[in-house]
Amino acid sequence: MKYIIKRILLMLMTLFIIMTISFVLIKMLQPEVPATGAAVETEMARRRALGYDKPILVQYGIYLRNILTKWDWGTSWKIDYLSDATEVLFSRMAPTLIVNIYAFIISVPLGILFGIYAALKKNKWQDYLISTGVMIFVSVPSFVYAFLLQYFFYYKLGWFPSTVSSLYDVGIKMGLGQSEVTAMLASGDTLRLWLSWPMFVSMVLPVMALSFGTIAGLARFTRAELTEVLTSDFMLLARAKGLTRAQATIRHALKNAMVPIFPMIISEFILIMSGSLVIEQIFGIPGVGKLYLQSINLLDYDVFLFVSMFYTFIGLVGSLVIDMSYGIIDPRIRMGER
Amino acid sequence: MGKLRRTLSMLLVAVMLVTIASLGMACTKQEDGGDKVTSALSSLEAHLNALKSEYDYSEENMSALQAAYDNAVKAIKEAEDDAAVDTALDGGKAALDAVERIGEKQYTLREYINSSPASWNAHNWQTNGDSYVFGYTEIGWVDSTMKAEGEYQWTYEMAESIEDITAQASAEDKAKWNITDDQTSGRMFKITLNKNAKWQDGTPINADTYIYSMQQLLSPEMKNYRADLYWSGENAVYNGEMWFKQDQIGAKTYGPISELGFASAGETLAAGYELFIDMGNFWGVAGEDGTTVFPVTDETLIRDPAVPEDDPEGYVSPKYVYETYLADGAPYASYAGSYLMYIKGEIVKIDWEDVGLYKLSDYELVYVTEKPNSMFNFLISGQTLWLVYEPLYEAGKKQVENLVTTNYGTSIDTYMAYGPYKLATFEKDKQIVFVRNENWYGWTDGKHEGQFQTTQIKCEVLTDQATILQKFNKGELDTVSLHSDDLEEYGSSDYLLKTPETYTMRFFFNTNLDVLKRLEAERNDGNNIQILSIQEFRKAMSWCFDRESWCKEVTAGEIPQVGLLSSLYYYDVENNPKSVYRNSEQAMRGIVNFYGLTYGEGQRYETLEEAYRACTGFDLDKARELFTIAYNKAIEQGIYTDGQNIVINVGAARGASTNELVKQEKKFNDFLAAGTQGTPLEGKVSVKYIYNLNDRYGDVADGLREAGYGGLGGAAFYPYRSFNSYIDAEQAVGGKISEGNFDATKVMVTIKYDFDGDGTEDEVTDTLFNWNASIGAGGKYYDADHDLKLTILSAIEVTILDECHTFPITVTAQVQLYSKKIKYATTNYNIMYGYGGIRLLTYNYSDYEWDQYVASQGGTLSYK
Repeated sequence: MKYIIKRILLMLMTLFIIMTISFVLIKMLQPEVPATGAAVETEMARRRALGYDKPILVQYGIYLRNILTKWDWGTSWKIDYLSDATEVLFSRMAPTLIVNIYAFIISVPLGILFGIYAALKKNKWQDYLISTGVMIFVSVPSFVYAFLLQYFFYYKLGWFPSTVSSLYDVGIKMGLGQSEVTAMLASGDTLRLWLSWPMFVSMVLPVMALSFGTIAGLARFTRAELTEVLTSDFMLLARAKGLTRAQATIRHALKNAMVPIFPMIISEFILIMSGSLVIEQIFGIPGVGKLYLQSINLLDYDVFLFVSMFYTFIGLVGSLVIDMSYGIIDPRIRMGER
Repeated sequence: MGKLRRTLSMLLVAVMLVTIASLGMACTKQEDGGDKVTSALSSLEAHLNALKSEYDYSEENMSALQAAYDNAVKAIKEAEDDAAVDTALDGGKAALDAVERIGEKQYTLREYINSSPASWNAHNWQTNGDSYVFGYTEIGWVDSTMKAEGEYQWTYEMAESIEDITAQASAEDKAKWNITDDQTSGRMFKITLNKNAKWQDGTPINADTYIYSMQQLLSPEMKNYRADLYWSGENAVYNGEMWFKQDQIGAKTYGPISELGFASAGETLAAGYELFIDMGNFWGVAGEDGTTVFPVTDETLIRDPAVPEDDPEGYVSPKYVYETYLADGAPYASYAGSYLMYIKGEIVKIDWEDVGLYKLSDYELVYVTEKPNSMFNFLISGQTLWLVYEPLYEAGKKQVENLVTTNYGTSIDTYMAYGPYKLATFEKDKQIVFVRNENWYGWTDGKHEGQFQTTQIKCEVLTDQATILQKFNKGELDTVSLHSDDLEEYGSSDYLLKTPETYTMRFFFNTNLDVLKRLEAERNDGNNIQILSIQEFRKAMSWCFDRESWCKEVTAGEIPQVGLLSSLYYYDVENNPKSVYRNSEQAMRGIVNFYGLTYGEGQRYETLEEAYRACTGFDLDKARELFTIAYNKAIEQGIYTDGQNIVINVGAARGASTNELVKQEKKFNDFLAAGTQGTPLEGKVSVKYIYNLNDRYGDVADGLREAGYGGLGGAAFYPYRSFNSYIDAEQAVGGKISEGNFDATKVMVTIKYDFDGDGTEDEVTDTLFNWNASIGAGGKYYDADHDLKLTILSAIEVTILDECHTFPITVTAQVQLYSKKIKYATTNYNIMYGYGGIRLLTYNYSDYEWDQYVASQGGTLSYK
């Protein structure tokens, strides 16, 4: 418990330091002022009204005060005009989450299964085949097979849409009337549309593109761990006790191999919330990857800061959870103990 | 006997008459019956066509429809009498109506944009994505539409009429709005509003809507981005600035001394006025607080944009600027009237009644401008309005620090349309769908028949070009912008549209020999660049440039250009929609003579236009001849050693190198290799592109580099001032001309023209600078007729070409493909109406038919 409290305090300090650095750096980038004319006056007047002419540290003080007193993380002026920075991020979370969850559900079991199979068939053609595939998918960047998937499965074969469908189009495909879909979108009650079959079909290509790398990574890791465990002395003992190969593998080898694999799965799960910029661009996913880049390009200060802090927080919590997970999987491991 | 004969004759005549009458009646009856059948058949055919144009049918049902029609035709033809014809017709129509339909024909335009709109509130929009939305959902008082090929007309929309009523201003009006007696037009405009205009929810739009919207737009506490369109510039509303700055009561406002009737600093000072300088417009600089007007003192220092940023000496005082440039006797004293300012007044508290927008009745507005404005400019600006829907605007207001603003126009719930289309959905970063706004007056007023055929517009937010092209080829998008790489595949497509822009891409040089010597010494690589100071060398480079192949192979659809101004410059568009400078006789003659083409009887080209159209500016023999002359001169002047390589550094781009620029560099070197072949410079001349430059124009002007590649452009509707920035340093961006050694005050130009109107041609010689000033605002020939001004403009253009401190290559253009589904009103771009816009866009296929068509083509279309 003491360890966890210590980690949490360290985490908060890290957050503060990163926030300070991010704030100062992004504020040092000043947006362009219009060349001449009345537009200059308007722009400068707006900046004065918003306090952008104050020293950066004073601005930072105001920023922190607003967060601590009103939980106000600022306003978007460029991406979603006048929306809260928090709202801007969360409004783009759904597509990223859904695509990543589908990818996670597909890639984790497949990755582990391929890894186990390759380990069990070590140095046989099945192992070579899987290992070759793994090498290819680990080495080739995801956008390359994203393009290939799109080209063959959309352009040539026409099996899947090229981009993730809009909610409106999904609603129409589901047989809902235009007014009904419009009303659903206006009310924000869109979960049904997000989880519908037409939406799933439109997400198949990005899900595949996102999954290949994870499947390959997990398969490689699982194979390596399991191969090592399978050749351990205790496995020999287990077989000598009379366990079948399958029993020994499931009861002993897999359990031991999962100690390093499980944290990897957790980190994959945490990554569910982060978007892939390239995949989102290629498949037209209105997610957070694109948002992050936009916030930097457009100098939407508060959005950039909130997105940065949110993901820093997720990353820090993730690492804490991963560290703690070792103890859960293997009770012999105790964090913070000498 | 005679009586009998007479009686028999009479009987015979009677019988004949009766027979004729009977026959006539019979014929008439038969004709009536024929008309009935014909009319029934026409009616049936019209009904069939109406059904076909209004509804989609499956292939099977289309056959059924045809069969029903054939049966009905047969029934009508076989009908025995009128009643039977009517019955057959009714039965036939009913049979046609009974054929199952897929639904009403839908015409969806599928587009894409690269970034999602953030705020399409008319008061605060900032990006192209923002304006994309209100391009469909809002409409102006007027719209410039296509009348005939190459001709436009003003079509009244939200206004019924617009009149210039300045001449009718009463004494009270004149006093209130500061209208002088000599101002008889351009200050007061009466707008009679369209009484049928409504918001999409049916709420009427009247004069109060306009006034509320303007009050919000100019609100000092909201500081809206677009307020400057109405408190500054030629369309500024009277006292708009005063209202916008009501939070700065006591602050000074300034006006140019020319408003006082003064043209020089001395006169102004003598009259007791304090002088200020408008540094914003003079040098394009502003103080840290946004101030652009400075007192003529040493107190404030302004960064001199002509000096590199890291130079500590780069700060000057307004007093220095005044004394060096604008004071009496200084080189630019003639511009004192425009850039020296006086204190016009100060911001004082005013009421809205003092602002120049008021209503005469519920549907009549008067718009008073701050300065005289032409009707043409007023109509141009009246194509977009500032209307906002009060309930939503107010509901969306929020204060952030000291700024009050509103979320109006940021989502479907916070916005109200009043144009032909309204938003059906808006999914951020994903898709926007527009549908017809059923409350738009245009659907029922009878004035828009045959227009706005589009029933729905679907716009996706897409950024990846490969995805976009694939979707286009699969029939899922109706337009696609092309990159240079795409042109290899689609450059010859029948569905290609090139939309020219006003920018001419050209190479420009610093030809100052001292600068070139210094640069050469600094590089110390043994290469020569001093030869650039020789005019023939630069001309040779121009002549060896094959602009056609350059455009085709290494640009994204740019258009070859041998003159400095493109075909988008109109000298009198208000009165003559075809008044393109480039097509004027003077401009064509200037170019044809400069490039040495001949026309007329016995010549290669019959007419001037034919010669002009054939002009490419590409002639390898000429280039070789000029390279040889340049070589000889350079040797003679001792600025070139035989065998030296000549490597010219060209400032190519602000950003990193692109595939297109790399190809261009290679192509240019290929041209130079061909141009120098067989000359003493063979294989010696090349260019090297330099990237990631903050200011490639300024670098050449400042002598930091010898050449650059960039655009040249000006005001499309007033070409006479287009060369100001290239002739007059004070009007150039940053106060300097890119061509570092070009001094228009030393270049003499002789123009032959009947200047005094006595019927004989005069020959007048003056500097290029003065000729340019003569046709600009306040110039000697500013009010002269176009014939003279075009002659002068053409002479200026040709002189710049001949000096060859710059030479033109291309005109930039947006290149796009359009789908087989749609049909633009014209494929010849016009600056006033584009290609006819959504108003005149028609469809070759309905949505259903299009899907069928694409499927019939195997799901992928070819546009190559």
